[in-house]
Parts: sequence; C-alpha cells; structure tokens
Amino acid sequence: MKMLFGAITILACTGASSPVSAHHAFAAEFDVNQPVKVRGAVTKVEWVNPHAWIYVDVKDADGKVVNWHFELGPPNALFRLGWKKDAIPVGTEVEITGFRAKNGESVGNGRSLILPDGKELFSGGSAPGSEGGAKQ
Amino acid sequence: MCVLPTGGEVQERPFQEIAMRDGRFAIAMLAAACAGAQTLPRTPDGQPDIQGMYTRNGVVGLEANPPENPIDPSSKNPLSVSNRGDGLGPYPGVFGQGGAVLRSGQSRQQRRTGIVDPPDRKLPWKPEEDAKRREFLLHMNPAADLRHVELNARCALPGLFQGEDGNNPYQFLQRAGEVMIAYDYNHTSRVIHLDGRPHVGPAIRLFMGDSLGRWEGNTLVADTTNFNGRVAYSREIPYLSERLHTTERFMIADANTIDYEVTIDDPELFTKPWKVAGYFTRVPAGVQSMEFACAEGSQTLVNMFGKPPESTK
Repeated sequence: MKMLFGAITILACTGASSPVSAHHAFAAEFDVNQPVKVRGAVTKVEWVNPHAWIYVDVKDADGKVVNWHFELGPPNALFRLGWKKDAIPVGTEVEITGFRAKNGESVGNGRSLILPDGKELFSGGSAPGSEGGAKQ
Repeated sequence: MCVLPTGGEVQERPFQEIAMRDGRFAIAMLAAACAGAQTLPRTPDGQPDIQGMYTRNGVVGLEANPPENPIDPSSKNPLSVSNRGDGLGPYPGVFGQGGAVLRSGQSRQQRRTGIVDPPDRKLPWKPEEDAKRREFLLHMNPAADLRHVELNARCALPGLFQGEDGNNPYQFLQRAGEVMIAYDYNHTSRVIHLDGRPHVGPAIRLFMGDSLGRWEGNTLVADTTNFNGRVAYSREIPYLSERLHTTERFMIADANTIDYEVTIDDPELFTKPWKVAGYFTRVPAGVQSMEFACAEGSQTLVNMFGKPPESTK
C-alpha cells in the first residue's frame, strides 16, 4: 500500500484543469437521490474498460451477505495516476459511499472509498498524498 | 523556436494581419520575423510534420441557452458531471485527474475554443429540428429505449466530437499520402487521405466519416462526409444527421500546439453552417496510448434496464 500512496503524490504537481471524462452521463444510469454507504471486505477489483469496478461483501441487518459493485474511474486515468491492479488487496475492509444504479440492484457509482486507517481513495483532492493539489 | 506573445483569440490568419489589426506594431514586426523563420520539419513525402501525441482542448462547447438535459444537467447545475473535474459532483474527482497527468507541464493558453460562429452561440437550428432534439432529450432519462441511450454510453465510435478529451489523448501519425489520428478513447482511429481520391460512394456510411485532406501551408484541411447519423456533438446535441459535412483546419501554431477549427454543415438540422474552435497541445514525454476497449466491461445498459432474461457471462 505504501507504493500506492507514493505514486499518488504525482497529483500534487499538476495544475491544468480538465473536465471529468465519464463515457456515460451520470444521471441516466445512477440516481443521485439514492445515496448509499456500505462497509465490507473487498472481494474483487475488476480493471476493465470503460470503468474499473470494485466488489465488496456487505452484511445487511439480518447478517445476510450481499455483494455490492461500485463503478470507479476509467482504467487509463487510474493507471496514469499511479494506481495498480493490485492496489487494494482482496479482503481489505473498506467503506464506500456513492449513488445507487437506477436498476435498483446492489450496484452503485463509487463516490469515495475509505480504508480502515481513515485514508480516503479515489476522491480527488483528498486522495492520499495529494494534499489537495489535485483539485481542479 | 519562435514564440509569439498571445492575448485572447488566435486567428487562422497570417500573424502579421492579426497584429496589425490590433495595432500592435511591435508584435507585428516580431510576427513577421517569426513567420519567415517558421520552417517546420517535414515528413519524407514533404508534409509539414504534425506527428505526436496531444490532448484536445475546448472543441465542444455549449450553445447559448441549451435545453435542459436530463441525463446531465448543464454546468450551472451542481449535478452536472461532464463539465466539472473538481470532485464536487457525484463522480469522484479522480475521474478527471487522468487528464491532469496528460496535461502536466502544459501552460494555460488563451486560444479560441467552443462555438465561435455564430459569435452569440445561437445555433441556426431549423425550428422543427430543434423541437425534435429537445423532445429526444426528454426521453433520455429514463431512457425510453436503446435509441435514447447516449451513443458514447453504448460504446459507439465517437465521431469527431466525442473523444472524451479529459482523459484520452490523440496521436497524430503520418505516412506518404495520409495523416492518421489515433484516439485513445474507444481505441479508434481516422485516416485523412491526401492523395486526391474522391469520397466513397453515398451508400457507405461511417461513424468516423470519410476524410479527404490537403495541406495549405502549415494547415491541414480535412473534408469529411459519409457520416452515419449516429454521431453526437454533445450531450445537448445528441445526434447529427447523415448529411453532416465537416471541414476541419488543423493549423500548426508552434512546436507544441495545433489550433483547430471545424465547420459543421448539417443541412438536415441547421439552416447554415456553424463553427467550433479548440486546440491540441502536446503531452509530456513518456505518455503512451492505452487500450480503451469500451465494450469490455460496460455495464451501462444493465444499470439502466436490468439484466437480460438469460444473462450469459
């Protein structure tokens, strides 16, 4: 994990603005009125185009385990930012906030991902090592 | 390298003309010296060498008073995601930060961007076509059917305007008689033929169109027809017609910059042509193209409509 945080520091040096580049419009696919927050263990990170996906086993109130899927950034962007495929090992406990997909399944867009030590990933200027410099 | 001071718009006219028009005589003299000294490297077949990997900037702009777009409200709306990279929208900021790496070291430039003609950005829509477009947008969220899912989300080839410029660079390559532009986005490409051939026949319709080009000094002019009607300009203009005819001008401004202007002539939708400008800027050394195979893992349709009855992996 140390290597990961080191790689992320390159963000602090970049200043030019660029638009968000999602290949699809958010509101057609996800419901901004259905924010979700889950906590659980990572079961898989899929490094696929056009978006990477992270899968997390989440226990509901009855103890039933549901596997949630959250969309992440495009792999080419994540790679250029220093992320590697194995950056978040299976079994890592994470808390993910995001917005649920319109199909009502256990699927969402990952707005932020917090590790057990409180470090927040993928959320831009608050990413480890960025010191806020990456905000555009 | 000869560097000119820039201030505001950059016109595709001789440097001297711009400077004299503005009354900046000192700049005019410098410009004249620069223009004379600007001898670009050439490819073996004599073309100005335009090769390299670039980011594209500012090519798509909002028209004046765009319709409310239910899939991605305008930049004034806090829910908008396509126009902001500050992490304040529902997408995490990381979505826009791959582009920050591509743009590291690039200086901010004051160049012509967005819709430049007409100057008020009120596009010359045929009223009935504008009405159809607005009605179409209303059926995109929730998507009434597959046709109302935006083309990029369906992983369609991006055409000239939908290359997701934030994260995806463009690589210009040249060989005898042609210029190829390789898109990172959706890993597609277009070839601009310089050999004087005619356009392909009208029965052939293409996402990327059929491009014929010529060099006018240091400007590559590309004439493109034979589009298939499944090319969007933006989220507010979700389609252009098969009659779309574009004329692009790629002007090599300096060693790191290509000024760009495209005339969009679509007589099916508009009463007259309109123009959009932007520019390409060279990326830092070491940036490589990466496969962006959109179809690989797109879950957009499932997220919108649910899984098909018999889903197969």
